[in-house]
Amino acid sequence: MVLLAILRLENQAYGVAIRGEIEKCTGQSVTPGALYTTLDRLSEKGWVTSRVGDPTPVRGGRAKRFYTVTAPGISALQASYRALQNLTAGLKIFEVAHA
Amino acid sequence: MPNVGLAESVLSLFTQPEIAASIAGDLAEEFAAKQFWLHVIRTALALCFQQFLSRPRRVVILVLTGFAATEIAVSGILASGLILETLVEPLLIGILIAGLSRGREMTVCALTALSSILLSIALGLFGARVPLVWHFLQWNILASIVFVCCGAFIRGRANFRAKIEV
Repeated sequence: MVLLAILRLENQAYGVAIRGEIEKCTGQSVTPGALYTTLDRLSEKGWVTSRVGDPTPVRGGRAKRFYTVTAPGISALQASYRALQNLTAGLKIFEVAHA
Repeated sequence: MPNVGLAESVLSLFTQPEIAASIAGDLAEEFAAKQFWLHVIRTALALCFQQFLSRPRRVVILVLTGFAATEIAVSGILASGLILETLVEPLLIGILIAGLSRGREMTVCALTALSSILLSIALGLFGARVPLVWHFLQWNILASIVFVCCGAFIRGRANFRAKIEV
């Protein structure tokens, strides 16, 4: 979900925006702690990289950290999507949902 | 505006300083004062748990080492009755375990402190009437405070050095 949210936000994917995008698309809220630990794990795996933006007064002078999905991250997403498609193929409940 | 600098310092005990700064900024942007501190504490606990999960075996070994050393030391202190050792021994144990757990200093020290406090509570519940147990409880609580201070100091020093190098 976090990788997809980062892809959807393109160049504007920082903590607050990622949480907002997940909430908007799924209707479920993600706690900041869960998001930042996930981003930490994704960074360790090399699936996302980050760059620092400009500091703003509304953030107490702290800069935004913008995340980008890397090529291995996109490969992992594609693999997950294929696995999901394979698992749901032929299940009638999903045929109704797609129709 | 909440104290973002203090929040950044708290978060940097459990993650890299530059990541802590951006997290503190995100939380300041999104939450008002009371909610802000609630989320700072919850995020710090989540990051602490994440550090534990990333190297669980190493963290458990270090925590058990610190815990065992603490309990051996408390037995010696209770037997000898030397007041000086009351502060020096937890300080040495805290510095040792924090020094051995590079990158996870605060997590290891906090978990060691937590295990000492849990043992104190257990002993307090089951043996509080014995006078010696009260000394044991006091020493364990003091040792826990010293451990947390050691973890914070050594982690803070590492963060400061990293900032200077950058």
